Amino acid sequence: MFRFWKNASSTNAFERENNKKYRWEMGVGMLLYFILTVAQGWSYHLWQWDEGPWRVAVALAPMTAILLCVWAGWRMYRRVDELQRRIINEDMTVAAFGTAVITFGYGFLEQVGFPRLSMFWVWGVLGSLWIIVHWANRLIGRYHP
Amino acid sequence: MNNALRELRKDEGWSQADLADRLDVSRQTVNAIETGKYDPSLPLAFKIAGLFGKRIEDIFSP
Repeated sequence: MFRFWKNASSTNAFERENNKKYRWEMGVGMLLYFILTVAQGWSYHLWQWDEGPWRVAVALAPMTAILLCVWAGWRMYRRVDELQRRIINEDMTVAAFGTAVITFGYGFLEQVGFPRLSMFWVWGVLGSLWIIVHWANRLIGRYHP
Repeated sequence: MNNALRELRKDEGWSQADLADRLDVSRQTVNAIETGKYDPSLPLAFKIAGLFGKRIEDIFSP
């Protein structure tokens, strides 16, 4: 059952090339996200953007980096082969349904006094479930050796 | 589906990585096809058949 530990990372030139491009493109996006988030924090500290028309622009500044990361992810999806795309689709479908269950369930709990949570949690739930589902499928050897 | 991909690959002296590079797919895909965990799409099946100079039905069978 635990085939994960056995040759899980064996790749060929096709994969290595795709992985290299993805790491480069996503890395630039994540670095820009870090820079913009830090700069945003400093700007709040220096200028206290509590009011005025610029507060929305400053609040959304890191989104340019997020969009760059989305672009990198889309390019990766277009580069992978048909089986890898199927794996992404299946894993993401289960993660999406799981996220719907969890977020709707917690939404009902908020109505009876549970703490209100930020929208940032939604991607956290989706991303975490995606990882869990992916590794669960690897452990059972669904498409992996 | 059953397939003779592993035998054909070994006859050529190729590793799974070698075959995957010739087909522009990942080694994982070649392994999944050989072990019956994944059936290739029609374009990929044609590509495989063309690479070995055989018909699709000579390589894949129900």
